[in-house]
Amino acid sequence: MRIPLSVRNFYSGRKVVFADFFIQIPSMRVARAHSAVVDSGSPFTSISTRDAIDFGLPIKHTQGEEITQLAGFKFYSHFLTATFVFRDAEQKPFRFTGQKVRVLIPTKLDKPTLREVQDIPSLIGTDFIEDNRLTFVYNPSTLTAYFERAEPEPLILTPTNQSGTTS
Amino acid sequence: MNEPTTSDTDILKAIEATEKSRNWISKHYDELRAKYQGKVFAVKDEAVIDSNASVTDLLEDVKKKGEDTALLVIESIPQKGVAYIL
Repeated sequence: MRIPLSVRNFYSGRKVVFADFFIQIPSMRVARAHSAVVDSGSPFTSISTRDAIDFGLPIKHTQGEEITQLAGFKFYSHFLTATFVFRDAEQKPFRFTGQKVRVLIPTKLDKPTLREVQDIPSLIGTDFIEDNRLTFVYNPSTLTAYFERAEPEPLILTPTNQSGTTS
Repeated sequence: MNEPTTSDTDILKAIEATEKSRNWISKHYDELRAKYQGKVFAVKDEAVIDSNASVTDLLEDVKKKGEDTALLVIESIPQKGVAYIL
């Protein structure tokens, strides 16, 4: 199974790999298309503050949440469970259910900070790639990128003789 | 109460629309950077329909115009001279 990804222009004039998918967060009544940068340097998949505001998620602090530092800013991580639906190479939907995702809420909630962090995109990190046993391929020479998951090997039962050894 | 479910066809259509808008942004990135540096903007049907310095204010504005924000692509371009290492 292969999921094509898109290589697009980004902030600094460099190209970046994006994943376009549909995200469902039932606890927050979110069901919509979404895009995230595939960041093999990030251990965590996250919804950025800008996208959280766009989704209508509550931007407030809850005590005891873990602090994540990203791009020089500190964020509280609010954890949600989501389903990610991708379009595979055969144009069929492929679901990844029960995905833990961090919503990044800046530790400072003043207007200047919210404006500064709004340029930070949502990320698909290595947790998503590892947990779903995906291979991430990016060839900058051909501007192609994709996720791939090997189909499980078919289980082949071999007949055994009475001594328990295979024939 | 049961949540309304989204059909596979609707999901694929929504992904395709987002992909189209994002590809349009990528293709016109230099023009958009010149015009919207330091701003957040909303894209619908391969056109910028609104922009603002703040995402919260932008969303308020597009809602007032009767837009469904779930069908828009919201993107921002950092101020000149600012880059992020993620």
